[in-house]
Amino acid sequence: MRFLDSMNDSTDQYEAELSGFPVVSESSKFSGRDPLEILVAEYSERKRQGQPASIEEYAEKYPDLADEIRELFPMVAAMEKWKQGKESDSLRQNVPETLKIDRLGDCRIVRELARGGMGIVLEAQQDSTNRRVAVKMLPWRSDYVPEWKDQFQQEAKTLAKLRHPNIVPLLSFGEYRGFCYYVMPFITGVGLNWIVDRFREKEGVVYADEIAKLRAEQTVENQQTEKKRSNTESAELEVLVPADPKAEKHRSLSRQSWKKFATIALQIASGLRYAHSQGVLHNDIKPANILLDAEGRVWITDFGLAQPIDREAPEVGESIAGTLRYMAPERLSGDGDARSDIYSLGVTLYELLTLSPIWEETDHNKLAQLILDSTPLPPREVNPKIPRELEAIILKAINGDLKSRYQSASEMAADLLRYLKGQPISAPKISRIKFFFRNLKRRGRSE
Amino acid sequence: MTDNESESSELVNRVLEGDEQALAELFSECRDRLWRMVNFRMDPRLRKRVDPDDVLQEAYMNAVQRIDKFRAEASRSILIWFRMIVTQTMVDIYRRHLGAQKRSAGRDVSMHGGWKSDSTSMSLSFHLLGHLTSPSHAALRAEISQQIDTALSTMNDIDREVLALRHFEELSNNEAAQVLNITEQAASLRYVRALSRLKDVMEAIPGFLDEWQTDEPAS
Repeated sequence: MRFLDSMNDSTDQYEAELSGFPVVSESSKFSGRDPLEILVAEYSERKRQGQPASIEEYAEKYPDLADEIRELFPMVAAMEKWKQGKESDSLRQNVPETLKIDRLGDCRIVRELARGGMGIVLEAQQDSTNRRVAVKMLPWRSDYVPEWKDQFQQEAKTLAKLRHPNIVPLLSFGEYRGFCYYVMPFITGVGLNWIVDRFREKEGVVYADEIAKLRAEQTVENQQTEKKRSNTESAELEVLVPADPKAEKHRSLSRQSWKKFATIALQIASGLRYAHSQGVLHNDIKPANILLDAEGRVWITDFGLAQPIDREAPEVGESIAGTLRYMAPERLSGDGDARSDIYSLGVTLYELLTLSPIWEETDHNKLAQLILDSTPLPPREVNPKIPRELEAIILKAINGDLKSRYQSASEMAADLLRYLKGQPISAPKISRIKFFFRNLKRRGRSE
Repeated sequence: MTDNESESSELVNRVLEGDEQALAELFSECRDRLWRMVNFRMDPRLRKRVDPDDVLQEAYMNAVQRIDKFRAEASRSILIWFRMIVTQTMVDIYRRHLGAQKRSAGRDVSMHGGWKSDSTSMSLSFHLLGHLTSPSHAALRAEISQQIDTALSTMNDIDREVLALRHFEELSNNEAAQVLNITEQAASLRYVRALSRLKDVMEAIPGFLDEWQTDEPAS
């Protein structure tokens, strides 16, 4: 190590001291300090301690310095606030690249699937069940902020109780070097975001065996030494979406598979209905959190935990717009309820059917503004081939006025079912309704 | 002298006798502020590879190596002594990982690391979204956090550094003076001047003062 020269300045000075350091006398503590600076220091310290500190109070107490106090203290408050934000950020995105994990609890880590602002996703083998699992490790340092850990454990306990055919179950959870993680079964499927991307390409068809192959390729790539593989990859795959198994021989999903989309939506709605009945909100329904497996089953993943645990805390980098886009307006100004999940499901369907995001905007402030006070283009104006009924269902789900939205997931599921059976739906079709979008007054969503 | 201080001086005496356990205790007393420093100063590229905790761990080992220099080097401020060691450790780690030029490595770490995280202002404004009372209000606040970034980047090194020391590292005036190697009086004046320059830049932004003058409940 090299040390700066200035460190050695005092080498000789204190060599003779027998014990301790010379005591700095009280008077020298304020030697020549600008009186304003002393006040600023006190004010900063009070802010840091979370004590109430009012600029006006200081201005009144020190009238001679009142002008300076009113001018400079706001800077101090701003700097402190800004620092808090930065620190909070880094505690959350601080999963270092060097963090290599071989084993978590009874899971042997096989490979890393993804790493990003939202944490690390690992593929693993669970010893006790010999089951292929996915481990998601959250990116924030819960050992620094005990409340995060408590909240994580509390949520994880609740989520571990959820059992539904359309919800990826939480098998177990734990903590490793300050990072919380949870274990889920490994789903051989793709996110709806992947499906949408495929549809945007010219061919516009997704084949069931493609989903399996995609997974298999990843496996071969990363697993050359590993002989055995879960047999899901090589298994003969059934119809992608079993909406109508007899008629369906193509094992594929295309841009205009309207009924299949409705089946997907129905499965999501029914998963949500169950979760809501258990008092659990998802809070982050979006295409990437809906997995479709090669058998056509839908899996809702990342329940609750994908949400930044601290509501006030920032989300990380590019994922902001990705999550914000699907967020209900009432969530932006407070917390939502079950109907906020329905809204997000509506936006997800909007994207799946129109193949374009409901808002193109990527700047998150502008996006927030759009969500709060604009009306999206009705789906059929994007693609006239979309059935009126599905359009009506989506519009009812994304209605900015909470009272006009589906009041529950079962209500929405019922309409989807009616559509699938060719019965009249409850949602008003667009030509006949005034499509109210949010106004700024309605922030309270107290109804 | 408070209990705390006499406990500390007891620890100091033990360290002077070469007691590593006492050194560890002193280090852990300073740990929060040292973490702040590392967190703020660390180059974003390094940050992807190394955890601030690892830096502190290594710095502590270096402090142990240097325990016989404690009397000579740490007499004015123990925190500042640890801080020096942490800074040097960071430079070492930086070189090891990024193999940077000798000359630029130290500078990057000590002066510029914290000011250029592109994503931070964006994240912060999302943070502020949580408090929004109206979208325009939120946009304004986001704008402000970006403006602070910009404002700071236009200020000279010494102003910026003094603000960093006082706010990001939470150093006292006395400690900042030692780091800058100037008198307490000079440090105090420089800090006030830096705040007032920051104010000049920020004044150009409509609504900024209104925003921060409204006293918020302490958070």
